[in-house]
Amino acid sequence: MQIVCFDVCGQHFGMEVGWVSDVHKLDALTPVPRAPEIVAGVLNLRGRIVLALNLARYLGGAPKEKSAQLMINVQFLNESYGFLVDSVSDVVSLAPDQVQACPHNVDPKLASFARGTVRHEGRMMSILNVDGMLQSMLSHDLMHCA
Amino acid sequence: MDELISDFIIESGESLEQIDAALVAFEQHPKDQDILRQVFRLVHTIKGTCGFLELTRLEALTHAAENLMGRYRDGLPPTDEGVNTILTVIDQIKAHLDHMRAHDGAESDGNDQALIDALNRLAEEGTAEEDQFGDQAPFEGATETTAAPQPLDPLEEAFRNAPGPDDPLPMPAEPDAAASAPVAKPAKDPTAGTPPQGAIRVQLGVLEQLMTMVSELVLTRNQLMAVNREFEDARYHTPLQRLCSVTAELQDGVMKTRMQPISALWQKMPRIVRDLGKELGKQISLEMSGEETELDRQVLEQIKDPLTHMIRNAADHGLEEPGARVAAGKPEMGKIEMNAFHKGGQIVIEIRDDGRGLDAKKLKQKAQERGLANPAELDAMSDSQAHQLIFHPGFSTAEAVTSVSGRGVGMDVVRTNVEMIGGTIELQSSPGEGTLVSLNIPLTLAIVPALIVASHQERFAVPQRAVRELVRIAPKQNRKVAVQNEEDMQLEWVNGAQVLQLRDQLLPVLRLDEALGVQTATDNVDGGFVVVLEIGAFRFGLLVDAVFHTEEIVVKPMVGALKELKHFSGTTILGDGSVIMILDAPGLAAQVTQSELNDHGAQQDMGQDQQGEDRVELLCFILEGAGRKAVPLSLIHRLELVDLSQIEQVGGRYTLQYTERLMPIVFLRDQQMSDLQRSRQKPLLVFEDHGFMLGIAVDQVLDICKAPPHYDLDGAGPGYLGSAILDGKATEILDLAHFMAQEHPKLFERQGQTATPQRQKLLYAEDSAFFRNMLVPIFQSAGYEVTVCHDGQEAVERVQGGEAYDLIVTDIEMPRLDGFGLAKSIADAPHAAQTPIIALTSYDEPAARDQAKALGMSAYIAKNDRARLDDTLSQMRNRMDRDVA
Repeated sequence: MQIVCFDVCGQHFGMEVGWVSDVHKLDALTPVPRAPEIVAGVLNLRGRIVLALNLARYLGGAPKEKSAQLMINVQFLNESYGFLVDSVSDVVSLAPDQVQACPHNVDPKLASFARGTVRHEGRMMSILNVDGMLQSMLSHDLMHCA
Repeated sequence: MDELISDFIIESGESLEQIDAALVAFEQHPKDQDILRQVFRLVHTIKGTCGFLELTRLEALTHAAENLMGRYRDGLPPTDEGVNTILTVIDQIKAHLDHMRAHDGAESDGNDQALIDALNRLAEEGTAEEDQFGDQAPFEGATETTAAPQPLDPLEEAFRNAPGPDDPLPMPAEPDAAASAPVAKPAKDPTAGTPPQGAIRVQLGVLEQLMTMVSELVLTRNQLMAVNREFEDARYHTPLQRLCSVTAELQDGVMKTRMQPISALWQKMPRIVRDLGKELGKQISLEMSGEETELDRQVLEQIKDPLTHMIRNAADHGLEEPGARVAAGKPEMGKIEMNAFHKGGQIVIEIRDDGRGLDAKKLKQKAQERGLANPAELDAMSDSQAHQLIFHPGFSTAEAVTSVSGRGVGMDVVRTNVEMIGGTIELQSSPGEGTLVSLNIPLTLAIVPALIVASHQERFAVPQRAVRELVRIAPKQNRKVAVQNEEDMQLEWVNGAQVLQLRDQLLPVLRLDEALGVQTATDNVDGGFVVVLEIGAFRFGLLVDAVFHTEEIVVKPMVGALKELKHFSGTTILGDGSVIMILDAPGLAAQVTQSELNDHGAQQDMGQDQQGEDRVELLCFILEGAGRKAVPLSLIHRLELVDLSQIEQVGGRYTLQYTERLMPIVFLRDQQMSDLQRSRQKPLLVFEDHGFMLGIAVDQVLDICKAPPHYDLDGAGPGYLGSAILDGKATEILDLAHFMAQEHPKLFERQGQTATPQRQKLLYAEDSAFFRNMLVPIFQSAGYEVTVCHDGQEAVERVQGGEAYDLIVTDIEMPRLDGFGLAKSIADAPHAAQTPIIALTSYDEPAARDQAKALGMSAYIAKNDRARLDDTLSQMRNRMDRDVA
């Protein structure tokens, strides 16, 4: 499988390339007052309204100010979502058996939607299950905060 | 060509194309019920429409075909001949349609008698055949290959006997010959063969997508232009210019695909009106103006049915019979006018008739018959209010259900449809002169004009529909330095709420930044603008930092995940490509009223110790000329509507026969006496106490509201406990005990007499003046001598001071010492430990109930549970009486 590798708060993550519709530079993000914390804002991507989600905040890392530079765009249930990430490094091909189960001591929230971990260029990378993560972000946190 | 006919030709042509495949299948599997039904439906639809359009030739043909197919559908096995004939009919229909298309909707001369005869013969044969074969027929259908040849023999026999062409195949030639004129004529006009007007149907979604893309293209162009301005490269100049004009034209074109002149819809109206006139025996002229007014096709689609319905209404109900018109001095010819025009970003469509107008009396009568409103409500209605009744579901004023109207779709559906697209409907009518219905509908559903405002550098869009005016707030410095300028508007504070005095109105003001939680500091308001918004009848101001301009925005629905945010109704993309949020005026209004309520509640809490939860339900009513009154809901036995003429005067008192007894009636004000002569209906509040009834006549029952337990008891006149602020209005609370004592002096006497010679002593601890006033008379009427304490501490002091009581009734929530504390202290007092204690509470919680039980309290009763209180009181009395005996 093909994995897009990206960094959020110094951590290494990956998601399947099939999910990714765009990767673009972040600009003109409109904040949404009263929205839950993980909502960074909304933006216009070729006429579609994209809901930008603050991945760093969700994954629990302390986001550095203005650290997010890029956005990875995905489509989920007919809506567009964007994940703010610090950098996108590479697309790598992995064999499914390279992916190991998550160690038991990782954050249970992350473990619930991580497919597993893999060693990539000397660093550990968590492979994210995009639909699982989005569902978890939307159902739990958004409902709670809004 | 008549719009109606051209629609019919296009639609029928499309349906015929759609079933082409089905027809082929029909040929191969003539017994397939699904295909048969599909073809049947099509033929049936064409037949129906032809009848309406008076295309007699086509109607006769399709009627015969439908007849035969109906028989096949009902189980008659189709024969090869039958199938062929039907296919021929379909071809013939196509030929007819082609002819009409080429000849401005005119039907070709001649007839299809041969084909019709063949169809009829086949249908009759079917009958004969069925008679002959009886039960066998269904079997033949089941086993296609083997059974099919079987019926051929008798069929062929019948076929030979029947008049007409020998061979089924030449048959199509016959009608063709008869209709040779239509087939021949198109050849003269080569262009006629092409599809009409080159129209195609496009999914709305595709258009939407196209529009989005075009707006994106415009944005990209704008960015390019900006870059070019910066670097001034002459080489880019010309191509950019071209790009500009092409994009603009493209944008125009795409926008146009959405817009259609209203004439597209109105073209059908003269025909409908003419047919209606024929059917109803009325002469009707239809005048239309403003046909060129353009509307979003989506909107047009939505108002199609409401408009047609209103035209039908005007013709059927509005206009009188010719005789009646002449008698009324009007021209025999009735007139319906339709008018469309732009007004304030909306389209107004008016439909006016010069008929009899709406009869308010009749409407009211109807409403009463249908049980839509009670007589008192109807009585209070003005004529124009009564006119609104026709928008009520299930209302139709036609005396006879005609085929024209009264099909169960009424004006309520019209209104619902109009409101669904954000429009409004208004109705004016004057008896004898006619009715005017005006529809206000938005130009388009997708684009709304909006005001762009800013708060803390963030821009937001406010749909202009709700915006009434803009008010500039003068900055503070100016106010201090300069002489107070009368023109300068300023914000003021009332009890922590920000308000704006706008002419004679005091508007609540909501700070946008505060509402959005961006900032909550309260003192750095300096200048800015107040956008005055109106939602229904509610007006409020929205304080923003800056107001930019108005812009036509394309509304995009809110991102699904953010639908919970009530302040926003959607998002939009501005001309510069940025996304901004659209503020939802109703959502903001809700916040204003919410915060007002909260403030109100908070103030109440401060004023009333721990009793914040302690609220009573009161029924509010109005006495004309005497304002709002209220009475505790729990005391009311029934609400009745009585005819004042039924009230009799006996011995200087008003009484009413009620459930076979005489009930005294109290009028709270004198003026009503004169009303007795007239047969007016009034609401009557019925109270009951120990079998004694009392009725209080009022003018209008308003609502039930929750009241704080503390009232301003000063200045209460006789019959009133005091006044309270209910729903923001001063309301006097009725003292029922006063009226009971006045009308039923025996009630109090009797209980005094039947009770034991010395009255039982009751200690009542209650901090709420309201309940003291309300309950003490109840205790007294139950035969107790009541000592009142204002809190638990006072009660304890009395008991510990040696006073003896037979019963202690206590509130739970009280300052200084609560009910439970009182109960504990009583249990510790040696001479009072056995005294039964009743806990009265305004809230019924299991935990509190358990605690009451644990403390040995005898009963735990909700304050508004009058029945249980009475029961318990009399039980206690009986027990004590027994003890004494």
